[in-house]
Amino acid sequence: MDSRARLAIAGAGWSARNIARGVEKAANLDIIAISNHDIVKARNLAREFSIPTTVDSHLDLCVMKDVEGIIISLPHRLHHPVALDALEHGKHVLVEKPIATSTNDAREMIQEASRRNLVLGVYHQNRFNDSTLLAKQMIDSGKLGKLLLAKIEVYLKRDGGYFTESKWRGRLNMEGGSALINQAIHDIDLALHLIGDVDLVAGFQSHLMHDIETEDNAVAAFKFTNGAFGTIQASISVKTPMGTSLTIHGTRGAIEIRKDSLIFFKGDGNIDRRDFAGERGISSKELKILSHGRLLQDFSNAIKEGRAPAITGTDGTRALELIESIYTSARKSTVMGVNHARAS
Amino acid sequence: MESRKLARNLKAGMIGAGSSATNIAATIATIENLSLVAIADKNIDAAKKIAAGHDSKIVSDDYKDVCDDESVDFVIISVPHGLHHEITMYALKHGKHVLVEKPIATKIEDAEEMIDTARKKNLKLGVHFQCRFFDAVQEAKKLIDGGKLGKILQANVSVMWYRDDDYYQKSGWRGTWVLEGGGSLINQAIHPVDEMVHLVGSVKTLFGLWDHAIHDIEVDDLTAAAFQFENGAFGTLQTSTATKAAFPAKLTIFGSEGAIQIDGNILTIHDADGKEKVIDYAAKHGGQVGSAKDPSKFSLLAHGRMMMDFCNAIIEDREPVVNGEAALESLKVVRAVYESNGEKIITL
Repeated sequence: MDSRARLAIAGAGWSARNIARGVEKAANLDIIAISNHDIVKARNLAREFSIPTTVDSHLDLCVMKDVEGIIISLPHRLHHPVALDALEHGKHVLVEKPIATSTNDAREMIQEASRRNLVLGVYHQNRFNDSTLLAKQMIDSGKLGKLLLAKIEVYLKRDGGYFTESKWRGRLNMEGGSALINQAIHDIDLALHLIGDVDLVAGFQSHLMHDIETEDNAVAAFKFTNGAFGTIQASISVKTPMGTSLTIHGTRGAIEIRKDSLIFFKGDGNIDRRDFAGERGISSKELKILSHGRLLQDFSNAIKEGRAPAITGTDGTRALELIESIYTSARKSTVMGVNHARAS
Repeated sequence: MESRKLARNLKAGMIGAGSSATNIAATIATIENLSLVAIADKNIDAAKKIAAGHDSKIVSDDYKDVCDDESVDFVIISVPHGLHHEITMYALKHGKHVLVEKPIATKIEDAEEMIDTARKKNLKLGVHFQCRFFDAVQEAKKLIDGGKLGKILQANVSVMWYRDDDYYQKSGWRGTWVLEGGGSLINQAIHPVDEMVHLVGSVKTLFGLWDHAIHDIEVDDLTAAAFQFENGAFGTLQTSTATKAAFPAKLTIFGSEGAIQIDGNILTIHDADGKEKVIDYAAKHGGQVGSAKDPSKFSLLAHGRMMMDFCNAIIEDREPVVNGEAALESLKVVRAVYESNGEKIITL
């Protein structure tokens, strides 16, 4: 059996390019086809990354015999129907975050993959960041003591063109939300990964700046099952992009996790700063691509070894469950219990 | 040096002689025409100690002796939070203007009664939120009111500190609902919460969580909340006295055109180009601001401005800058967090 996985990408946007670059860092897979509604974009990526086949519909990928799995990099709302098409045709699926725009859709995807014994992975590449891996070690080994609080901060600039020049962003039925489901979801996923499930949440959201249907600003407070608290502050309408961070406070210490760094604030007042791009002697962009490579390699190995990927459909739904609860909380002005589906 | 002279003589009485009172007494000594003529504390030795430097004629273990004395123009109340209401009401009923420590009270209805009584009796009620007089806060107010941050989108208060078990166990009042009225939020974080409502506006709806995560106390050593202001902006807060990796207390305000951060008397301005400007007013004033770990050094400059404003409010018969209504806003936020308790969204 060929030890290299043969995958295809559905979608040829900005995000698909990052995936293609990540593939270059993974040793065990090839992208053998790419589809995009606007085929010119697909051709451009195909040329740049030497992808042999270009088609204009994901359905064409679904019927290609050589394709073992499909990576879905499309507007959020399309994740669910395209994943179901792929699974139906016996293809493994790696889907971009969010896994879907509703937990109902996500559950259907999970059931379908399970029924067909196919691998369903979710593309939360930041789980593979050096900073996340170190944070996980530190927390699990008790370096922070008892965990008290997770603070998620997302302050990004998405100016007018980001929405006005997009056919799907800012639209409720296509993007399914904005600041939370598109941007904050990364750090929300990390908080759940590092600390555990959430029992209850309430939040507030609105579009304060952009003329969109979805939210450009949101806040929430929540309680983890283990008793720790969490807060989310997300804005994609600030001109001062202060970036994204997850700070976890424990009784003995705190860590501030960013994509390419981790700062450890120790109980004795000392501070340890790790700059992973610097340590590896690469740019922070390159560092980001390393995480893509790790995720892609894990997914390909899961296919080859017939095992679950590091981030399963169920695991990859947890962030969406919390975000969906925040949307409902904001709409109904009520506190929401969060029922995380457990891996069976 | 800012003028520290009153237009006419005023006589202050002081109730409570703890560490905070010591700072206030030191401030009184720097103001011309202001004298501390009476002081009371249940611990008479503490009262005597402060009185010694002030030529105070009344030193008592009963606060009523201070309120009853005819020569006293106003009383400063620096006692456990839970006693603010009772002593303020007594002082007002005996015709004294009142400057009470933060928080104004532990219950909203108590605070409202204090405010109503002062108004009816035409007496001044001031609350000791001296941080409003920090240059950092005043400059922030100018920036926001001048539109420099654009539309205000979000605010965050973060006070992640540590207090050891002794702090609660050896105190006769901390850690209890009746006397402290809360923990990390009402005591440690109330200043930045006050600054936040001063700078951004009133909070409309709030969801909050609190817990005593590590200390054997009734009240909170950990809180978190998310909320929306009347003007539509959003906010979050986190407070604790349970983490040994203490961070500076920070208020951050995010606008569409820029952001500011206030840490004590240090103002950091993040402009739209991503540039960061740090103005350290504490250093400018010769390091008169201590850290929260060393409250004895808390800005005597801001204390002085606060005291001058309150005394001038009496002399000029106007409202003090931080009157009861102004101070009620932060208490409303605090109480909403405690009442929400992870169960409901509170409308303030």
